[in-house]
Amino acid sequence: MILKKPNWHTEHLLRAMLLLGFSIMLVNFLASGSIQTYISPQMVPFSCIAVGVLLILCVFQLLRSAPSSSNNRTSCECGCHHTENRTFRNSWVLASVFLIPLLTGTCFPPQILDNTLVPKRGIDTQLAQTDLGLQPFAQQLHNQNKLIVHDALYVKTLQAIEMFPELFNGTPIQISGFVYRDTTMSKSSFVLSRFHITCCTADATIVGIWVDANTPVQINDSGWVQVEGKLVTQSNNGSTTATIQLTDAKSIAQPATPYVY
Amino acid sequence: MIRLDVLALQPVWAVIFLIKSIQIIKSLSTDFMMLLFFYVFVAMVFQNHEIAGLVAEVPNIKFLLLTNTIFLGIVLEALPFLLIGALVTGVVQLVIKPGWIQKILPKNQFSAILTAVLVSFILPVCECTSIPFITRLLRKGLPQHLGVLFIMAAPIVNPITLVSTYFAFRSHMIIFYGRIVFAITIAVIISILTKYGMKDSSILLEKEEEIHREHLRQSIQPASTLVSSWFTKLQSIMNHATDDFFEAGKYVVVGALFAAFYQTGFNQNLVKSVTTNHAGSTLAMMALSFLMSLCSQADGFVASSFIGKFPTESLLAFLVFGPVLDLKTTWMLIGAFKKKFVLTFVALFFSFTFVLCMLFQYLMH
Repeated sequence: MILKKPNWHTEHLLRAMLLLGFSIMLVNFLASGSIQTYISPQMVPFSCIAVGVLLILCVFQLLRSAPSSSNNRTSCECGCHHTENRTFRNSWVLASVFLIPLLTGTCFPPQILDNTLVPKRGIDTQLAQTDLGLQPFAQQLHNQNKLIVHDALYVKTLQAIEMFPELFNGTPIQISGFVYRDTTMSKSSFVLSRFHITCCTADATIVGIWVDANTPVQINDSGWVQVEGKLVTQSNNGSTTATIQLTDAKSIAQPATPYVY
Repeated sequence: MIRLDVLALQPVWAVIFLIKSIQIIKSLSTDFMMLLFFYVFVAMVFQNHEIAGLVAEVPNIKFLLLTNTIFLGIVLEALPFLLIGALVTGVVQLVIKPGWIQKILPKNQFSAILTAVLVSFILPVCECTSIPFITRLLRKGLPQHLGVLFIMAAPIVNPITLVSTYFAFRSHMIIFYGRIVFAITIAVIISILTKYGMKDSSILLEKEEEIHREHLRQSIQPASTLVSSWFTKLQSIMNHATDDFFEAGKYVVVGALFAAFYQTGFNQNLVKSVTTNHAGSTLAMMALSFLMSLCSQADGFVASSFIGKFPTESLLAFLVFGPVLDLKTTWMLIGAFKKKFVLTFVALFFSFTFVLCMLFQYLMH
């Protein structure tokens, strides 16, 4: 009689390792703050929950893979035959699929979405959203002497300007974002834009406002500027839009939170 | 040189993993050694900015890095919901006894479907959670046509998606109502068609391991009810949750990869500007929602950025088609159901979405 050495259950062990890997990756992203490159802050609490669940599942998978475990479920007395080959192949498929995000998340630096993606997305200078709460907000903005657009209210402010352009005609404005220019635009105008993210980078839309300058503007490589100017209304084809008449543009570094949410 | 740096930078990890890996390798079959070494290496370089820095310096890598950011965005976004779904599925597996569902469902066909519609309004499941969850319910004896109804209705009319759609379309309530009405109508029609079309043949993929697992469960049932310790139950829930997480997760990862390459590699305006007529723009928006593979909670906001540029019915097509069928979910469906059923389902769902949107356009003008 040959006594077989009890074996660890490789399939479950592998799963435990993958679960551990994902939780380590998530903890690293959360700790370094680079999680915000991938998903919106609103979704971060869910990621924290995910870390907990992953670790719990990992512990149970380790228990399951232990040699003496009663939960070792591949040998049973049900009479069906398990081909080791099949389990082996499945594990390989599983491992290679889940190793892709683990590897790229580890070895690839997070890349902030930037103006190279704009031509792929199409820019959104017409937000065209009539929000019911927008009118009092626009009034409130109108009462300020100078419109300083904060990141937290970026989308809402641009919506207010777009909905009620006449209200803001002549209002001084200070706003920051990245510069986007395509071949059809003249050297002295550009679209000042930000990526707007709802859940994750896949649903990023670009919001922006037209900026006109009298002279060509020099912008450094980062493409980020803070613009000072005056809102002016222009009407073409019966619709009125607001654009910024540039008075001053200064290059700034890419902000810590480049997206607006 | 780099490897030495890595080891020096992360001594704690290196030690833990080396000890662990020696322990494990001792008792492992050689087949897995290489894989685990690979993994240990990955774990050691975790958060290694040097490697990341080196990668960043590779010329023309920006496209890949952008793709990777979107890919990880989708994966990280889906991960918590996959896990929650898997846990709920694990609980369902243990708590719901076979036959129980048939007992509580109304006998009358009409009220059974009505119940299913109402339930899909309160189930907090999005598209990533719903497919494994419903597959499990089907194995527990949920009638097939009702399962199919959930697959179509739940991702769209669940409370979370409803709230986000409401906020995205507060000024265009017709799209908000239209999305609900279209989703329910299509779900009910296809559900009835499934009932009469499939009759008694199962739509589920009969998996070797799945049969085995069910078999096993039955064979150990007496023992587990005797022991019935809470820990055994907890273990059972966790093990099933893990199985489901990996089963569904691999399709999400593959789908997310395709979707990310689409988003960075192709011009989305190309799809949108393919045609200007109503049928064309509706088809284009359906294709776009399939390829972008957005979460059903988020797609409302993306669609709202198309208001005014695209006709209303094409936005509805985007909002109804995408949550049910996209790169991730189609993969998941193929993994859980018979190919013939998936093909029929895709064809039917596609046609009904298109026809309803065209009908809407006709009625509005």
